[in-house]
Amino acid sequence: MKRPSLSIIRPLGILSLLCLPLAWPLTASADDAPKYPAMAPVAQYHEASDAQEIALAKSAAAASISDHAEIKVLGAHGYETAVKGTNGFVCLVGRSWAMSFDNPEFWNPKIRTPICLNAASVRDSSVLPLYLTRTEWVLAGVSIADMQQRETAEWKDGRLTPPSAGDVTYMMSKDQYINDDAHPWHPHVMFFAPRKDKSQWGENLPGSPVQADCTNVAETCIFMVLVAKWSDGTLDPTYGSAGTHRM
Amino acid sequence: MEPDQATEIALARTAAPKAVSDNATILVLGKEGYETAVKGTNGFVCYVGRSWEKDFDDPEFWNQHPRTPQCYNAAAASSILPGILERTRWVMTGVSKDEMIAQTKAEVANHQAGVPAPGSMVYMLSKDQYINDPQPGAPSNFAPHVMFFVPAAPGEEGSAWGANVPHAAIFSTTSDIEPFTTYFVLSPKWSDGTFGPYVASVAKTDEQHHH
Repeated sequence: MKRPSLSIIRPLGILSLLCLPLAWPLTASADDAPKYPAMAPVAQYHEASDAQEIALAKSAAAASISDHAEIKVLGAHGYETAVKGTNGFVCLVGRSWAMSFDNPEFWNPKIRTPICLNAASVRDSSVLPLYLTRTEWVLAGVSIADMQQRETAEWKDGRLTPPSAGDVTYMMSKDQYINDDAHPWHPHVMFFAPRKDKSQWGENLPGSPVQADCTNVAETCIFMVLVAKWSDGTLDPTYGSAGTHRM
Repeated sequence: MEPDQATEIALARTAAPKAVSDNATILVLGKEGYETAVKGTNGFVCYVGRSWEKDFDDPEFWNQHPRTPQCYNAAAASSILPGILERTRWVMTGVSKDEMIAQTKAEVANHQAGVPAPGSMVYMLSKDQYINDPQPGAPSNFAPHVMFFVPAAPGEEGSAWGANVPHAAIFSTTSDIEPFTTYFVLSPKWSDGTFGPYVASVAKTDEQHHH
């Protein structure tokens, strides 16, 4: 078996947003007024320009990956390809509706989650295709209840299937706005895997660099492995002081 | 060999956070191969690897210094670890390297060699790990990392995961004989909670900031 040679040291919902429920208060007061009760005016979910959105999308991964990736930007009816890629990766800026439907920040217009997905994640129905379809529904004005119903039906009839092994995504943008408590959170790499009954990766345990959310997407676990550096090569200065579940 | 089992068990446990390794099965190296010293409950298996886990053509294949504490999750323990245990038995019973190579190739040809089960991963977070002999600027304990095993895909050396590119968070190697690729994701911290080489300077700054 190969072992790392010292000479080669070099250095999310649907996307990373699905990890957000871990940050919710466990006991929300019934008197708490929801901060984001409904969709904001659609303009608030858009970036000022395509160029700005492309740059933000690319910041999800090292330039050596994102410079050769397909870049999608949010259009009037859904994501559109702004830049064609050559390496199989797709980078885009996720929005709040990538979260689970009952997340209190589902309509938070501030959320921007740059992410680069590898070819397997782009292909697997429950990763990128699910998010792109949901985005189209959101922009067409479909209600949360209807979206929920549609996705349940798709899981039932097999149009949505659990991710395959090898689904990898990068979320290493220093400019990520994951939620109102995490902007940014930490640079991390995410893995999507079929859900199993018990802890598979030693996730969510004290001291583990692996965190996971196995609740938000049917039959799926999303594993987040923290890394030390942002995509621009700078170190994450907050890692040492952050709690284990500060998502 | 380690001086005693207790030392080896303790070293094996340093591969992962205590919350993982305290409940793992622990293997120790005996006269004829690895033996179970502690039965675990969480599906993980921890042990201290030796130099012969490297590729057969690695110049440090017989280096007596490497000690690589590792904790395999259940998927990796069932699919990849058996091959390592077998190779260790060969080594401990005097099988030559040429014979090991031939036997391994035969197993691969017969589809008997370990193809990684989905979700196979390993913790290597021990500050006391000795992976290779040190080189200038590169310590023998390398850096804390988590490894993932996936079936090798011809022509895809690391590219499927965006590995081995400048400033990448992931890098990879593919076995020259066995049918899998190993991906390495560098972690910020060792299992004891201290910072790895990439963030040590930041930790110091952070500490100063709080004082």
